[in-house]
Amino acid sequence: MREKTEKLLEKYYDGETSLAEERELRELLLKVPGFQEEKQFFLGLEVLKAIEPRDRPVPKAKGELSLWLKIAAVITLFLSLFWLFVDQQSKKEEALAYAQVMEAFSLIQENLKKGTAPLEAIQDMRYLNKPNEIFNIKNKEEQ
Amino acid sequence: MKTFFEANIWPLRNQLYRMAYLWLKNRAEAEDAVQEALEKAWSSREMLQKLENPTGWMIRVVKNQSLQKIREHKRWAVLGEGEDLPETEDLPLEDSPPALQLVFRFLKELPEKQQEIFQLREVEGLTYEEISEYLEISMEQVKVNLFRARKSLQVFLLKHRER
Repeated sequence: MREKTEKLLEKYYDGETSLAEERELRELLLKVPGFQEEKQFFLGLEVLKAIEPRDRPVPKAKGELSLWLKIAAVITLFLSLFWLFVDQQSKKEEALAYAQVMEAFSLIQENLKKGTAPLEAIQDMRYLNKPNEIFNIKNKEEQ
Repeated sequence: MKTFFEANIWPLRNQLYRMAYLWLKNRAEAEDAVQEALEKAWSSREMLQKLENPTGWMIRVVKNQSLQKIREHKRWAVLGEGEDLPETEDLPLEDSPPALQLVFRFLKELPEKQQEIFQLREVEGLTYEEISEYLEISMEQVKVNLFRARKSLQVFLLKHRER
């Protein structure tokens, strides 16, 4: 194992190792005795690798809507337009129904007039008793 | 659904932070440099999306922010009228473990380009191709610089052993 470590280390210093061989070298160094300086140096690289910054928020433009907000806005807009359309349609239908009902009423009224027209002659009959009223002539039955 | 920024730029944060830490040797300043770079990236996100290599752009911006902070330290050193304020590169490593201090002592001996390539390979585990793309240099330059950095490491650890 020591011999393999030495060979890999030599290859490493010559800049000829692959990433896989470099990983293997680090693992071997953990197991073999000696190579104190290399061990400490590679440990330092691992420490550096583990260093991470503190959490900070992802930059976002002020006043800019997020994608979800944009989607929600578009959906709301479409729903509002749809509702307006439906509302407009139902108002039109109501107006149409009202006009139809009114037309039907006027038709009924007209036909009713036709039905009562022959009765107009009866109106003249109220004048039949007029002379009696004027000359104060009493009916025989009353006498 | 993640935006381009959330999917491609924000995940680079840890890696960029470690690079800034390498340049600044100070965690709080490294965090600030990265955050400033991310805010710049956010405001240029549309342009960034069209770039072939947004990671390379981010590394350049973080480097510029870090250099700006180093320059600010130097300016303060001058304003201090003779006060012996150390440059950022010489700041102590905030009670870092000895192993990490060893790494930083070694990296400080390397030229800047070798430092960056060495860190991207050894800490971030990137391939030659990725390093070449991130730093916008040729593969040959990556290999040569990494070879030199490792030869320097061999000498550095040998000296360390003899002490």
